[in-house]
Amino acid sequence: MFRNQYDSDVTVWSPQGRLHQVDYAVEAMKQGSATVGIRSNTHAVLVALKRAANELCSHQKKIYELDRHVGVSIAGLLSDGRILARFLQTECSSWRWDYKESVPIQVLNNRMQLKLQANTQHYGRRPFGVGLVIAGYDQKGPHIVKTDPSAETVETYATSIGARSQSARTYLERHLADFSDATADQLIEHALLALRDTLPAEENLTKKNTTIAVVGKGQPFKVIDDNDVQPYLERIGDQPRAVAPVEAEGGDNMQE
Amino acid sequence: MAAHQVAHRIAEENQRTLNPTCTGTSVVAVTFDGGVAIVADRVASYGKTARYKGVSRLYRLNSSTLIGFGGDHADFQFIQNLIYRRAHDYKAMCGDPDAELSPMAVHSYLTALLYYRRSRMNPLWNTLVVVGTQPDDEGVKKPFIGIVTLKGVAYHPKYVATGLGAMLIQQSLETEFRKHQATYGAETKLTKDEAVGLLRKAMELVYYHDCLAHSEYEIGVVTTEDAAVLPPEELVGNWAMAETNCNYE
Repeated sequence: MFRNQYDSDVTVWSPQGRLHQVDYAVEAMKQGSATVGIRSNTHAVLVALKRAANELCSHQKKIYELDRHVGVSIAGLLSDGRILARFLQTECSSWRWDYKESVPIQVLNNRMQLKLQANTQHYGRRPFGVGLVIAGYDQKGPHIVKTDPSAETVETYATSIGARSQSARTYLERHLADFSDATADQLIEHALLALRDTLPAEENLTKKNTTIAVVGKGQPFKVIDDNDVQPYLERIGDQPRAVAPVEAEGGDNMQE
Repeated sequence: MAAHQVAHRIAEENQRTLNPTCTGTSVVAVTFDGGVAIVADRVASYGKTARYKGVSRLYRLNSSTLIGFGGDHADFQFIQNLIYRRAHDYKAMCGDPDAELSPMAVHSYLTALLYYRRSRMNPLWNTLVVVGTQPDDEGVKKPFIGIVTLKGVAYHPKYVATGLGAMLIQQSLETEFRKHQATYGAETKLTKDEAVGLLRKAMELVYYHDCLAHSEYEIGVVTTEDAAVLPPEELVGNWAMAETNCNYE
């Protein structure tokens, strides 16, 4: 993709019918470090790779709890992601104030979609440079929802976004039949294996760079970090890598 | 009153509710094993005159929620419309034509609404009883009663009576519940027939003692299957004591 005369404002269409600013924002999402979400009939899990800018820095927080029954993982410009996470948190809490109940995930999806779309149609605004994977549990069951800067908000059985996430999606497609009846722990193992496939051959998942989250029936949204991640990594330790990662585009920068 | 005082009072009445106009009296509700039953009579009184008969004071919102009102009829019709529209919007928001607001959601919304109006010193002059079946964390439907008063006081009782019924009936309900627990054990609940029978007795007592109450009433029942307002019933009562109680002119 190269610069052309139709890409200066989000309100300008190209002759091919594209909004280039939106496409570029999707590229920003693809630069962020990968995250995977999978759901079964009872649970939804998220795993994410946390990047550290250098050895002196701590690893970035990628997963946010939005409410007891829902959380989100972010890939792309983390600062944009935090704004969206905070928006979703206030949507959840103001619904709870009015109704004393958890907000249905479909309602969150609609609100998110409207907020994202607004930035693709107003002069002077820019699309959010971040994709979200929302994991939630409501009366209809568990949900995994994927959003991206184009404002497309879609429910999925399993998804992955971020750098080299195609390898993860390949793993997920291959194992799709195993997810519906899996236990929460089995789902987490699948998600970690999918996430591992996005790493270059010499790198590995560690308790420092991996974060896990789970929500579901009888399970409020819980984030697992640091030492608590280690048992899950040990369980997948003996399984070989399925697929060599697809070549990355673009390098590391400030984005996560 | 002096002219300026009359003018001031009229202006105030135009800006906030000072007193209710056409009112409903008591509402009584009890939970039973597998649901809730609620009863209210079918009259709207204009002061002490029984002005409008055949008025239903129970509103079926959806298959898991009934709302009963006491207090101003016009304010309730306003609230009824608000709730109906909110339930309709909820279906659109969920993208599901079968999505239903739960009784807890309706009760919480009404609590916020009535407290807000009270804080503006312009209340909706109602006591509302929301009954239904509410899914718990596991998704199992449990009986639910929520009451909200015009001051925004709200709570979730196992049985309740409003208006004059709160003074007359609530103690009788308490006694019945305690007796049932003593006979069958603390954790057992009334059956549906026992609950409906209890409400009929309660209506009879209300009719004897509350001058605003009327003899035609209707019972609403919510179970885990559905919510329904049963056809109206008429009670006669036992007025034999009128023969002996003649000490007034």
